[in-house]
Amino acid sequence: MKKILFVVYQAPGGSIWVNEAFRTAFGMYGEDIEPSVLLVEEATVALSKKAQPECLGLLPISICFRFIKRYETEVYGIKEHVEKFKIKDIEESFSVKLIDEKDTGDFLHDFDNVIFM
Amino acid sequence: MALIVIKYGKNNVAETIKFKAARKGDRVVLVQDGIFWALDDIETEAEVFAVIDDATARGYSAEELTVPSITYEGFVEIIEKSEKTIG
Repeated sequence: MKKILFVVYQAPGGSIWVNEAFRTAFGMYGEDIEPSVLLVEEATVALSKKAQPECLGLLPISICFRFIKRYETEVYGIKEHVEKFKIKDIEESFSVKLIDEKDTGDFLHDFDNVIFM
Repeated sequence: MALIVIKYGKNNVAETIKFKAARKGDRVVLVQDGIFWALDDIETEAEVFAVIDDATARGYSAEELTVPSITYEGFVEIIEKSEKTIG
Protein backbone atom coordinates (compact mmCIF):
# COMPACT_ATOMS: atom_id res chain seq x y z
CA MET A 1 0.00 0.00 0.00
CA LYS A 2 1.56 3.27 -1.15
CA LYS A 3 1.30 6.19 1.28
CA ILE A 4 0.71 9.56 -0.35
CA LEU A 5 0.55 12.91 1.42
CA PHE A 6 -1.02 16.03 -0.03
CA VAL A 7 0.37 19.18 1.54
CA VAL A 8 -1.78 22.29 1.10
CA TYR A 9 -0.15 25.63 1.79
CA GLN A 10 -2.54 28.16 0.25
CA ALA A 11 -5.49 29.74 2.03
CA PRO A 12 -8.99 28.31 1.42
CA GLY A 13 -10.42 31.78 0.98
CA GLY A 14 -8.28 32.64 -1.99
CA SER A 15 -7.66 29.36 -3.75
CA ILE A 16 -9.26 26.01 -4.51
CA TRP A 17 -6.43 23.90 -3.16
CA VAL A 18 -7.90 22.76 0.16
CA ASN A 19 -10.93 21.27 -1.57
CA GLU A 20 -8.78 19.97 -4.42
CA ALA A 21 -6.49 18.11 -2.03
CA PHE A 22 -9.42 16.34 -0.39
CA ARG A 23 -11.13 15.65 -3.72
CA THR A 24 -7.91 14.12 -5.07
CA ALA A 25 -7.42 12.09 -1.91
CA PHE A 26 -10.99 10.74 -2.00
CA GLY A 27 -10.50 9.68 -5.60
CA MET A 28 -7.58 7.46 -4.62
CA TYR A 29 -9.46 5.03 -2.40
CA GLY A 30 -10.22 2.80 -5.37
CA GLU A 31 -6.47 2.17 -5.79
CA ASP A 32 -3.90 0.50 -3.52
CA ILE A 33 -3.07 3.91 -2.07
CA GLU A 34 -3.50 5.44 1.36
CA PRO A 35 -3.86 9.22 0.99
CA SER A 36 -3.47 11.74 3.80
CA VAL A 37 -3.73 15.53 3.88
CA LEU A 38 -1.50 18.00 5.73
CA LEU A 39 -2.61 21.64 6.02
CA VAL A 40 0.26 24.10 6.57
CA GLU A 41 0.78 27.86 6.71
CA GLU A 42 -2.25 29.77 5.34
CA ALA A 43 -4.11 26.55 4.53
CA THR A 44 -4.28 25.95 8.29
CA VAL A 45 -7.19 28.39 8.52
CA ALA A 46 -9.33 25.77 6.78
CA LEU A 47 -9.33 23.95 10.14
CA SER A 48 -11.27 26.79 11.75
CA LYS A 49 -14.96 26.27 12.50
CA LYS A 50 -15.54 29.80 11.21
CA ALA A 51 -13.84 29.34 7.81
CA GLN A 52 -16.41 30.08 5.08
CA PRO A 53 -14.91 30.30 1.57
CA GLU A 54 -18.44 29.91 0.25
CA CYS A 55 -19.17 33.52 1.21
CA LEU A 56 -16.79 34.40 -1.65
CA GLY A 57 -18.49 32.00 -4.01
CA LEU A 58 -15.93 29.24 -3.50
CA LEU A 59 -16.77 25.67 -2.60
CA PRO A 60 -17.56 25.16 1.09
CA ILE A 61 -15.01 23.02 2.94
CA SER A 62 -17.88 21.29 4.75
CA ILE A 63 -18.68 19.22 1.66
CA CYS A 64 -15.57 17.19 2.51
CA PHE A 65 -16.63 16.28 6.04
CA ARG A 66 -18.84 13.27 5.33
CA PHE A 67 -16.18 11.77 3.04
CA ILE A 68 -13.44 12.36 5.62
CA LYS A 69 -15.64 10.48 8.07
CA ARG A 70 -16.60 7.70 5.62
CA TYR A 71 -13.04 7.07 4.40
CA GLU A 72 -11.41 7.98 7.72
CA THR A 73 -8.98 10.19 5.81
CA GLU A 74 -6.04 11.20 7.99
CA VAL A 75 -5.88 14.99 8.31
CA TYR A 76 -2.85 16.68 9.87
CA GLY A 77 -1.95 20.20 10.85
CA ILE A 78 1.05 21.91 12.42
CA LYS A 79 0.65 23.11 16.00
CA GLU A 80 2.75 26.26 15.54
CA HIS A 81 0.75 27.25 12.44
CA VAL A 82 -2.55 26.88 14.33
CA GLU A 83 -1.15 29.30 16.90
CA LYS A 84 0.40 31.57 14.24
CA PHE A 85 -2.99 32.05 12.55
CA LYS A 86 -4.81 32.32 15.93
CA ILE A 87 -7.30 29.53 15.25
CA LYS A 88 -9.39 29.11 18.40
CA ASP A 89 -12.14 26.64 17.39
CA ILE A 90 -11.00 23.71 15.29
CA GLU A 91 -13.71 21.95 13.28
CA GLU A 92 -14.12 18.47 14.84
CA SER A 93 -15.18 16.90 11.53
CA PHE A 94 -11.53 16.91 10.45
CA SER A 95 -10.42 14.83 13.49
CA VAL A 96 -7.18 16.62 12.80
CA LYS A 97 -3.92 15.41 14.30
CA LEU A 98 -1.48 18.23 15.10
CA ILE A 99 2.26 17.67 14.75
CA ASP A 100 5.12 19.81 15.98
CA GLU A 101 6.86 21.95 13.35
CA LYS A 102 10.22 20.41 14.29
CA ASP A 103 8.87 16.96 13.37
CA THR A 104 7.71 18.00 9.89
CA GLY A 105 10.85 16.71 8.15
CA ASP A 106 10.53 13.23 9.64
CA PHE A 107 6.80 13.27 8.97
CA LEU A 108 7.26 14.02 5.24
CA HIS A 109 9.81 11.21 4.98
CA ASP A 110 7.23 8.72 6.30
CA PHE A 111 5.38 8.87 2.98
CA ASP A 112 6.24 7.40 -0.42
CA ASN A 113 5.15 10.49 -2.28
CA VAL A 114 4.52 13.97 -0.96
CA ILE A 115 2.74 16.42 -3.21
CA PHE A 116 2.56 20.13 -2.37
CA MET A 117 -0.46 21.83 -3.84
CA MET B 1 16.52 8.60 0.34
CA ALA B 2 14.02 11.10 -1.08
CA LEU B 3 14.07 13.26 -4.17
CA ILE B 4 12.94 16.78 -3.31
CA VAL B 5 11.92 19.00 -6.21
CA ILE B 6 12.00 22.77 -5.71
CA LYS B 7 10.29 24.81 -8.42
CA TYR B 8 9.50 28.14 -6.79
CA GLY B 9 11.72 30.89 -5.46
CA LYS B 10 12.64 31.81 -1.91
CA ASN B 11 9.36 33.57 -1.07
CA ASN B 12 7.34 30.39 -1.38
CA VAL B 13 6.46 28.82 1.99
CA ALA B 14 6.16 25.35 0.50
CA GLU B 15 9.76 25.36 -0.75
CA THR B 16 10.97 26.59 2.63
CA ILE B 17 9.22 23.63 4.29
CA LYS B 18 10.75 21.22 1.78
CA PHE B 19 14.27 22.56 2.35
CA LYS B 20 13.82 22.24 6.12
CA ALA B 21 12.69 18.65 5.59
CA ALA B 22 15.74 17.76 3.47
CA ARG B 23 18.26 15.56 5.22
CA LYS B 24 21.47 13.65 4.62
CA GLY B 25 20.98 11.15 1.80
CA ASP B 26 18.24 13.17 0.09
CA ARG B 27 18.72 14.77 -3.30
CA VAL B 28 17.26 18.23 -3.92
CA VAL B 29 16.81 19.32 -7.54
CA LEU B 30 16.16 22.98 -8.34
CA VAL B 31 13.99 23.40 -11.44
CA GLN B 32 12.23 26.39 -13.00
CA ASP B 33 12.27 29.35 -10.58
CA GLY B 34 13.79 27.03 -7.99
CA ILE B 35 17.22 27.83 -9.45
CA PHE B 36 17.04 31.23 -7.71
CA TRP B 37 17.88 29.41 -4.48
CA ALA B 38 21.27 28.59 -6.05
CA LEU B 39 22.27 32.24 -6.34
CA ASP B 40 23.19 32.07 -2.65
CA ASP B 41 24.80 29.46 -0.44
CA ILE B 42 22.30 26.80 0.65
CA GLU B 43 22.50 25.32 4.14
CA THR B 44 21.46 21.67 3.98
CA GLU B 45 22.97 18.23 4.47
CA ALA B 46 21.26 16.97 1.32
CA GLU B 47 22.90 17.01 -2.12
CA VAL B 48 21.57 19.90 -4.19
CA PHE B 49 21.58 20.20 -7.98
CA ALA B 50 20.25 22.86 -10.34
CA VAL B 51 18.93 22.16 -13.84
CA ILE B 52 21.18 24.11 -16.19
CA ASP B 53 18.49 24.59 -18.84
CA ASP B 54 16.37 26.57 -16.39
CA ALA B 55 19.37 28.57 -15.20
CA THR B 56 20.39 29.43 -18.75
CA ALA B 57 16.80 30.40 -19.58
CA ARG B 58 16.98 32.89 -16.74
CA GLY B 59 20.35 34.27 -17.84
CA TYR B 60 22.67 32.49 -15.43
CA SER B 61 25.70 30.33 -16.22
CA ALA B 62 26.76 27.26 -14.27
CA GLU B 63 29.62 29.22 -12.72
CA GLU B 64 27.18 31.66 -11.14
CA LEU B 65 25.38 28.92 -9.26
CA THR B 66 26.43 27.77 -5.79
CA VAL B 67 25.47 24.15 -6.54
CA PRO B 68 26.44 21.66 -9.28
CA SER B 69 24.29 21.86 -12.40
CA ILE B 70 22.72 18.93 -14.25
CA THR B 71 20.81 18.55 -17.47
CA TYR B 72 17.20 17.41 -17.67
CA GLU B 73 18.52 13.96 -18.62
CA GLY B 74 20.44 13.94 -15.37
CA PHE B 75 17.26 14.95 -13.55
CA VAL B 76 15.40 12.00 -15.10
CA GLU B 77 18.16 9.64 -13.91
CA ILE B 78 17.77 10.94 -10.36
CA ILE B 79 13.99 10.46 -10.57
CA GLU B 80 14.44 6.86 -11.68
CA LYS B 81 16.74 6.11 -8.74
CA SER B 82 14.54 7.74 -6.10
CA GLU B 83 12.33 5.62 -3.86
CA LYS B 84 10.43 8.56 -2.39
CA THR B 85 9.52 11.98 -3.74
CA ILE B 86 8.62 15.28 -2.14
CA GLY B 87 7.52 17.67 -4.86
